Amino acid sequence: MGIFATTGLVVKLVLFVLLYFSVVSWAIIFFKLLQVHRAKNESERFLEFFWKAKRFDAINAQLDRFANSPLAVLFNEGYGELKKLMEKGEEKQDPTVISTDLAGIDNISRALRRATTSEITRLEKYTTFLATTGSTAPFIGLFGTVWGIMTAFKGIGETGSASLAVVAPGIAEALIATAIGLVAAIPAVMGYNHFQHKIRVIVGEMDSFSTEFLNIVQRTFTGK
Amino acid sequence: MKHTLKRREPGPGGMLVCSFLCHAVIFLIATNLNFLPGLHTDNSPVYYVDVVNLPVANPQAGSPAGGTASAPPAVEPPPQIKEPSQMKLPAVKPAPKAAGKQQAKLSPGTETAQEFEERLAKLERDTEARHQAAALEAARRRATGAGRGQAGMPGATGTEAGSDYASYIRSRLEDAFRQEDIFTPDRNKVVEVRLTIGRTGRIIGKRYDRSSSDMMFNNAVERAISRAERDFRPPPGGGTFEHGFVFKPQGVGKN
Repeated sequence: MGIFATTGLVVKLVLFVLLYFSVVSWAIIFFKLLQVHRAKNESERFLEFFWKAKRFDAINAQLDRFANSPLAVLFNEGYGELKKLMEKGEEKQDPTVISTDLAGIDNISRALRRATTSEITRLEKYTTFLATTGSTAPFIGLFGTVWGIMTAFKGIGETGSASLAVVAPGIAEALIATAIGLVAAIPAVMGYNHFQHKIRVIVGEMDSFSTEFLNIVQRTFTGK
Repeated sequence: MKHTLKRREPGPGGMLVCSFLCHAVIFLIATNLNFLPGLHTDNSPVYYVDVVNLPVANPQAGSPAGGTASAPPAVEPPPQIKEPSQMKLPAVKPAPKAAGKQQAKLSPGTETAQEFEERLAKLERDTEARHQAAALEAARRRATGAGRGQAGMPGATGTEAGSDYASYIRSRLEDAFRQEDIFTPDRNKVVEVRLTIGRTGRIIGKRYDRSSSDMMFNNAVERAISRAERDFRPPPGGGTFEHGFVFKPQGVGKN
């Protein structure tokens, strides 16, 4: 604790800011790891279930099992829009069996796009904080270091002694700010890049699923 | 009707607590294992050979209580200075025969450069050998604990008869105080502490007669006292010991 206790007020403030950045960054990293892991796993399970099931209404009844999957959300939105179109159609049939010609494929496509955007927003939530930490924490640490060295040199000038024993402690105290800035920034940058890659993969899966869903709807209900 | 999905996702709040705990654990581990710079403290005791500040009853005898010290040698009277008129030049003695050859060698003009180099190298070798022997002897004495138990000797604990226990305590305090990273432009800060040391060598009483306005300096003094206390030996005579000490940025003194 000695090295922290002897630092100046500004350096202490910088250290607290960096600690805040680090704590929040790691909280986001843990949260996103869990979120992305669940999204990936449940999407795989949902796709398996989707291709095995024969009817949309059967899939819709089991959606709660895949609540964290973005693909399930897409299906939910697309299926909801499909049912609305059906209900507005002239031909009224059994709602559990959808087999009518539809002219509203564009409506379903828009609903899927909206759901995709909403899921991307949900998955990317808080990652901007990681980017901010990665880019600013080293500079905040550097500011603390510069301030600490300035104070140290001022003290050296006043004491009139420039021996290593006088200079080194001040410099060491100042450099700890840069070290902690880097400790906060490196995991944040790594986490940000990792999650961006994972989210891109999930977005690709969502696009593929949207296309497949529209194809199925078009094939089944319009006969094209 | 659109189905509403029920997500079982924990919010970031729980992760925040988890992250904070992780940071606290890592910080504690780093503190305990001395990972952080400046947290490492050298706790090995430093023994000073302070022949000036550690007075003994009879410096020439070492310790009066030792009983093994030899009798003090008779003090030789200073040589009497003769008047210049009484001084005589020493009679020139004839050089011995054995030195004749060497004398011939040393005579200028006859000694070659190679002989001079050899003689110089021999002298250097002799000097080096003497230094090594002295160092070896000193190391042997340290290892065997020679001089231990004698006041003023390196192995002494400060509790021998004739030792100045207050100087010993001051020395330990100075040692601990120097480990503090005190950096202050104000050299006039003073903290006066009166310590009472029990018969076990622990501090049983501590009174601040004077404190500085700088809390960090006061804390540094407090830490130095706590650190130094671990090395304290019991006071001589099995009683308690009380003395005042003055802490300044320049060092520690006795009050």
